[in-house]
Amino acid sequence: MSGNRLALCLFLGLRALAPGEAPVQRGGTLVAALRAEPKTLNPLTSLDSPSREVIGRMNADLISTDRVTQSPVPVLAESWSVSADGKHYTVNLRQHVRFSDGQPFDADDVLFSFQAYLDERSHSPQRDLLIIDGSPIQVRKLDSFRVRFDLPTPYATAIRIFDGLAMLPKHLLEKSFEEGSVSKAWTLSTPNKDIAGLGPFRLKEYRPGDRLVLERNPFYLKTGQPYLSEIAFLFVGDEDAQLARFLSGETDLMNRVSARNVPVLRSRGMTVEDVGPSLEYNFLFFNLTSQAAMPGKEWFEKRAFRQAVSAAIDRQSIVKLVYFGLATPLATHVAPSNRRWAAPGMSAGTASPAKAREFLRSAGFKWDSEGLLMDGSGRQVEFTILTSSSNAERTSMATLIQDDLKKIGMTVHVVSLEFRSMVDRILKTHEYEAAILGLGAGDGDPNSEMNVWLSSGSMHVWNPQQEKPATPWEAEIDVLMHKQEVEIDFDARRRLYLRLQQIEAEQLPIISLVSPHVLVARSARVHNLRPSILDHYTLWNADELFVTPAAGQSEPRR
Amino acid sequence: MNRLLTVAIIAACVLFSLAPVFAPYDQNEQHREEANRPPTRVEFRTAAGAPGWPFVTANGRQFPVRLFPRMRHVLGVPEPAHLFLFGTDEYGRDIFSRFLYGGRRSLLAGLLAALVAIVIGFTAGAAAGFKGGWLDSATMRCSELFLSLPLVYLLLAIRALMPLQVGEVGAIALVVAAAAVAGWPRPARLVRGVFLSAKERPYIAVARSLGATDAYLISRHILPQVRRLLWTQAATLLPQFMLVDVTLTFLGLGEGEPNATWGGMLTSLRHFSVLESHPGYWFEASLIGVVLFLFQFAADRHARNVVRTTIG
Repeated sequence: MSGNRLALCLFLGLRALAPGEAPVQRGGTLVAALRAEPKTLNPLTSLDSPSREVIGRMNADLISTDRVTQSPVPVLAESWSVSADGKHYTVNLRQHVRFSDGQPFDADDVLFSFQAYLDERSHSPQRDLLIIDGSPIQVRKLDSFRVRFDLPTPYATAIRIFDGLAMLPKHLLEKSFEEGSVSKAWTLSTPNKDIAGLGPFRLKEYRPGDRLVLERNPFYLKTGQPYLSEIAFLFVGDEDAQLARFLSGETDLMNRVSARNVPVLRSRGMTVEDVGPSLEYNFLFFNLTSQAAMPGKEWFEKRAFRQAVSAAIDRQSIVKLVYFGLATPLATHVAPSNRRWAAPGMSAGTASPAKAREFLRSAGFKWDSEGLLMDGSGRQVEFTILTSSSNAERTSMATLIQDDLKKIGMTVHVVSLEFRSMVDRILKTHEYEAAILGLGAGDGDPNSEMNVWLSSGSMHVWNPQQEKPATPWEAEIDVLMHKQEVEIDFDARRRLYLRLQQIEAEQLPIISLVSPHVLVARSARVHNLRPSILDHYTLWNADELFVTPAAGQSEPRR
Repeated sequence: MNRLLTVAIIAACVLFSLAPVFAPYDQNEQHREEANRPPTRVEFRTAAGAPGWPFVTANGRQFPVRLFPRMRHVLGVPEPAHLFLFGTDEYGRDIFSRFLYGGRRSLLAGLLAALVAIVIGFTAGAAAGFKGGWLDSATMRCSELFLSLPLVYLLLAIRALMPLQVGEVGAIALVVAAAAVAGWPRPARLVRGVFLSAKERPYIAVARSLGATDAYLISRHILPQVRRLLWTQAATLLPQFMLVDVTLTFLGLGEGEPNATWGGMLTSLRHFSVLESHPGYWFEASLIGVVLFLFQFAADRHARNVVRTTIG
């Protein structure tokens, strides 16, 4: 037994004896719920959340981001080094690692994986991450267990590129890759023997419409782990149905609980953990695309108008009434929980209709005898906010905002649309006036927000995919985002990002509202759970989880 | 029984029609500090147990329920007390007040829709039955076509033709449009039957031979036979179209927030947490069911009475 393995065993043994914690038990099935059936088991093409939840448990990255500390931790890599100019990364791979079908893993698999992610025929959503400054990352094999990555320019978060890129088995996928059909490989109907990964679990069974079961990977790189024999994912359509199944003991975990369901769970003695503000930010924004599409709505372009709206919104009421206190009001899109990047001293403040009226007065707005707000040319200020009909929280926020804005004379209508239809209106046809959306980066780093803040970005929601920045402040944001992308010094990067937040607070292209807390529920039989504010909140350390029989029963009812 | 039913229907109609008067609060008035409150407890006995004027307790003090405490409101209590008879919703709005306002709106939509369906149905049925020939065939094939259309999909199609944001008028127009398209075939077919039968009667032939015009024949001899039938149809269609309005707003296709709609209020009950811990929504949902049942039950009884008296 190597020194490392001995140390690991000692550590696990000591953990098993730690006071207050149940001793590790091997075996058993942990049952979780998925909102929908996964669309694929292919890490190259997976986009939907259920697929990624399952694939994440079946595969491993070279270097991962620790979900609690948010620092990079080696997984398939044993160590790595960076050249002085920040452009060359050398990764030493772990040896004696095997795929879940027993085949060995080495540098050829790494090369193959990056080749597959970069190939346009793969249609991989991760491809963009591997293109820096217009050039793809170059990957070279130094020997069987050493790989070098050459970046065209220094890249601030290069190490995070490796997180979320599952290493693929060359021996299973090479043929389909050469045929150009790798994006169609590993569907839900692919035989188990043809799918292999390096994660703690591998596919055991898929029952359409019912469940997908993963079983322990006997070749997993951490000796003795995972502790669980199986993880079963039940397909349970919505949160209320998931709640009912959790309360009846059919599932062991709820990965994300809505605040409204927390009292229900706690009243029944269930454990709900408040992990803190998430990285998700909900915001109101106005259509700032060309006015040709929005006749008569030039108010939205006035900064004072947006400032007035922001000042009139009672974010505390949103926190209290929509999230039952389990959310945090936001001044900018960066939640306070994102400590590395949040601007210090920026707070959302309290609602002030008086201040809002001052802003409006300064911009030439007036009120008629009935208190209705009129613009300089005598038009009544009236607009419609779109929300997603599938998100009760955002619809509630819109209703509260509607009432808040009524106090300053604005007439606001709320329309709930099916999510896809709403997104099409915002990003494609621009047929809307205002909308409430929520975005949640998978990572607290600014680079995960490039698509939102660059004026050319497809998620630059208030005016997407501009050929050149429409305003001077958007041009400045473009410069800031490009600079931070290649800046290696953390403090310098932080200064750039703080300036962005300052511009955001001044110009209010988006009016940040609240960040809901990450709330997870678990049954008493689940141990070692360390929920995180980063997705996946509960199963990111699935290899460390174990279950004990619930009190008074040997196994929960399935 | 009939009298009791009539009184209940009239009472409901008066309550809904005069919702702004009978509701203690405006439908959109938010009391954010009082969100998700259970129904206010109204006490009718003093501390000594003697019966007395109803009052509510707030901050340790008793506040009598007052008549006309504010302009246009029949009932209320002085601040800081509140009179939330069914409790409050997630924004602190009075559920009872919203129930009455929602009822007013559904009743209005139902009445207008029933009227439109009857007018179109009568016109089409009368023309088909009286004129016969190709007009009769065309009208009947059309009615069969429209009877076969599934109502929900029809509503979706009509909604898609309307602008994104529909206000109260637009939402009611939607129900009326649905009625115009889907509601006319039944009354049309029944009216046609009466016209077909009546025009073959000997006294009609005699009247015609004496020079009576079509208009005279219809107004003098046929309309009286159709009148009761139209009333019965109107009574049957009213709850159906009220239900259409509830369905539309439940699906989010009618009028959106903040105005009260029965369908919108029922959507809250889709959440497990609301089902479990907010009794006010149960009152409201049960009452919506009871009111719609009452209207339907009354329509059925009326139809039975008509059949009995006609046959008898």
